[in-house]
Amino acid sequence: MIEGCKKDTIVGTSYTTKPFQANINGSVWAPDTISNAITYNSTNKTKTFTLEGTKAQKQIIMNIILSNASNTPGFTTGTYNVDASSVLINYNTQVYQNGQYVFQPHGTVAPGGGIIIVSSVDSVKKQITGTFNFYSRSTDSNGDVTVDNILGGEFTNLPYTFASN
Amino acid sequence: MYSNNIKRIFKSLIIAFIAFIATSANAQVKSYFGFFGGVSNPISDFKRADYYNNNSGFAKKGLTYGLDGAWYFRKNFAIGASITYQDNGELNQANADSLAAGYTKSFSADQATVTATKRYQTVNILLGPQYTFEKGKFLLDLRASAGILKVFSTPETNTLLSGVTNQTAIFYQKSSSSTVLGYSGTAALRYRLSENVFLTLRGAYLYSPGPSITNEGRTTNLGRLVTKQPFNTLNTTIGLNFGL
Repeated sequence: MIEGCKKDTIVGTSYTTKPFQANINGSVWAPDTISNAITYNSTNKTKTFTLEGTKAQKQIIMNIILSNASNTPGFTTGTYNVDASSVLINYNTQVYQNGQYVFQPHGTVAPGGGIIIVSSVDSVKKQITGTFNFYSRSTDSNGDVTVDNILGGEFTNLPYTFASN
Repeated sequence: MYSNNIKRIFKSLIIAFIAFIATSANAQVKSYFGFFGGVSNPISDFKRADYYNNNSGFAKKGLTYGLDGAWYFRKNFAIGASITYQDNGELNQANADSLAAGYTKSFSADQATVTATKRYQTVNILLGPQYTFEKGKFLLDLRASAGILKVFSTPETNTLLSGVTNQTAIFYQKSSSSTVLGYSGTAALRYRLSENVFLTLRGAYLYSPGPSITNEGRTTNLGRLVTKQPFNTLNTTIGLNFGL
């Protein structure tokens, strides 16, 4: 086909294919520093899934604590709603404080304000797959409320470590 | 593929040469001028759409037209000249998506948005020796020429990355407008419609090292970085020529 002499503006967009990513306030965010672990506590008989990602002055930390768990490297699949006790999500941003950069919570993910779905776990390869969404609400000194929307989060075949304490 | 095209062209020329040399008349050929129009086909790297090949031009088939003429100074020997406009298109959606995917990977970005504008547009002015074989109503002109390409524009892109700390600003591959050297080999088969009017089928291979490309706004040389864009086209046209 012969092209005519039209003058177009063509826009192409591509997103990362990294295994851990989310959309933070409309922009794709894929952490370059990831910590992903399942830890069994033999005293309390709890198993904790902790997924932490950091990049570009933003940090997401998710925790799911299972009670009466078994000392195995797997994890129970299912839907986990944030309840501020056994299912927790923190959205942190980096701030300059006392001469150094530290991550501080940027608001609070209240009970009902988020969801984590663990869809599959390969306990042999130690890989976990799931999705998440949440919003973090913060109020400044003037009483103005800011809501950070973290949507379309996913972790796909993300390797994890297992430890039994 | 490039070398195959060249081999095919040379093979055709040699066969045509032998056929005509064996039977051609030995009379003074008339000088002529004319016009032509047809298709400009990008070939080789100029046609390729490969993010990882910095010579890839992402060029497309386009319209070409122009004026052509030859002045015979001795029997079948002439000086031929042509002035040709050619358009080799712009980036399409698949090209822009491919570039965006490439930059996302190269920069380890969270997201890349590539906006492409402008197109390949050139005018070529070429001059060179020509030899003509004549057989009945047919004339075969072979010409090697050199000259200049006035490049009016090449595709321009601007790229915005997300999640790359040291490349937060948009960076540009600017459109180029410059005058560069070009080289051409042409074979034209003329059919005599009347004493001074010819219908002409013409194939012209064009090569140019191409214009330099300016890049702005980069903080690193990561990813695809085009600094020069060579041109390779095979223009196939039809036209009318008028004997003088």
